[in-house]
Amino acid sequence: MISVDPLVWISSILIVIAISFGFRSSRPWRVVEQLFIGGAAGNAIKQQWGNIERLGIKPILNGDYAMLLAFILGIVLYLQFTKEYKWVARYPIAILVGSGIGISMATLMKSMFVDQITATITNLNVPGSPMNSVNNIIILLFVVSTLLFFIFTKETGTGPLGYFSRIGRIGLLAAFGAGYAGTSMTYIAVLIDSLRYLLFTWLGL
Amino acid sequence: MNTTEKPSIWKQVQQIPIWGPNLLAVILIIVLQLFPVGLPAGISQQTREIYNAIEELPAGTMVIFHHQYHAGNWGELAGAGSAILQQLFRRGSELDIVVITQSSSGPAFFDLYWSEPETYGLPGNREETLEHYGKTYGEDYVEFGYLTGMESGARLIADDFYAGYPNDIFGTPVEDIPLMSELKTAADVDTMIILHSWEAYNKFWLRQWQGRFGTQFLVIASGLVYPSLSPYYPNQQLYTAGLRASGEYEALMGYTSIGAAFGDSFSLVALMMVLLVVVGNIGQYMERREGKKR
Repeated sequence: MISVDPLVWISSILIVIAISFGFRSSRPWRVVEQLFIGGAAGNAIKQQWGNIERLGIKPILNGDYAMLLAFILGIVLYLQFTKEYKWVARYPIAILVGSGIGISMATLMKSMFVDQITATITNLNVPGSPMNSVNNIIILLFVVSTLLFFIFTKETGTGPLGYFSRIGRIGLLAAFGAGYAGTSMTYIAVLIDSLRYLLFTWLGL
Repeated sequence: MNTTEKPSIWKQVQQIPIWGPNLLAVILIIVLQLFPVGLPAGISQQTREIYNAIEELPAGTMVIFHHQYHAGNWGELAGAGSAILQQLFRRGSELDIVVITQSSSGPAFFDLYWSEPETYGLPGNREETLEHYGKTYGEDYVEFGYLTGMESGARLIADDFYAGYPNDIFGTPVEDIPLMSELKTAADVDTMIILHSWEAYNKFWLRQWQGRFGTQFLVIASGLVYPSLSPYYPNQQLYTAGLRASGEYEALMGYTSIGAAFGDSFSLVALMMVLLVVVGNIGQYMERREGKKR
């Protein structure tokens, strides 16, 4: 049975107008686009205010005065919108960047380099599974070739390096194709989800 | 130049108006949602690996079910999340399960499992589902809400879980939850099952948990990031794609729900896209060949 919930009707009409962009742009679609952007921005502001309240204001009111420093640094960030005191905002930015690098550097080399290099060059001969062995050799070949593609200190278009460079380029294109396919998969899923909402929640089919 | 000359067939196939495939996709989806045909589907190796990894979890394992649900990925990941939750639940009190999220809308979407259980193949609301599987909230299952801070938040609870989560979603102080006496840092967690749609997010948690504590990572990723996670497989994590995994996981669990409902539509729309790409590329190749002949 068709829904009588006004919120379901509003969201369904907005979904229909949003999907109409696939056919042509229109004034109602532009209104829906701006509504979405405004709503997302408003939601983000509300969430961040909730974080400030929960993680800043409440601890200060409970006696954790160290949070005052975080408040001051956060307010100082806005000085970058002034001409005279813009330089002061560099201090909280430096603290943010420095702490971010410090947190991530701890295991960056291990997680992002060593573990992956290890995975690439091991198991080239998988006993009892020739297909996996072939797959692993292909992976090693394409990893090395793709890395060689990005060598800029020597001309890679000719000679032996040229062959590897061309293989690397093919690997890159295949990876981009896989990335595009994955992105399409997500968008198809969002479209199916939206149409299911229209069919089953709104129209009650 | 003759401006009234009709473009060749190869030129025309490259210039199909955009509304054509869009309309066809919408019609296909609507028809298949109303009249599903039940196309056969296999189960991929990656989904089976994750399923087997969960089946082989020893009794007493502390599992974190970590979701990043939001409006953009709920359709893709909801089915797989529900199936995995039930696979964890059916072990009864053998496994301790803690639910966390770093998505601000995550708790609201996760709550849809309990407010619309029939849509996601669950036996009932939270209390009914836990009772059905012989679990007790607070003793072997706890839900926490939104954790801010991205990588900082990941590191915070890795070093001190209580600091990041002083209360559960019901406001109960974490010290008063019996299960949480066994979970103080990431060293107490054996396995993290993470459902997400952001590659950088995966990297944060890999660095702070898997890299530092060796936590087993089982990842269900949306199609958007699925190809970019291949470097981490299999040494650092097992992973599978969300929408396909939803249908496959439900098949492994022996029921059909939202994951299977997406299956037919998704398969045929994807096939349509492949055909259009092939036709367009053939058109471009033939046009170039005819241009060379002239």
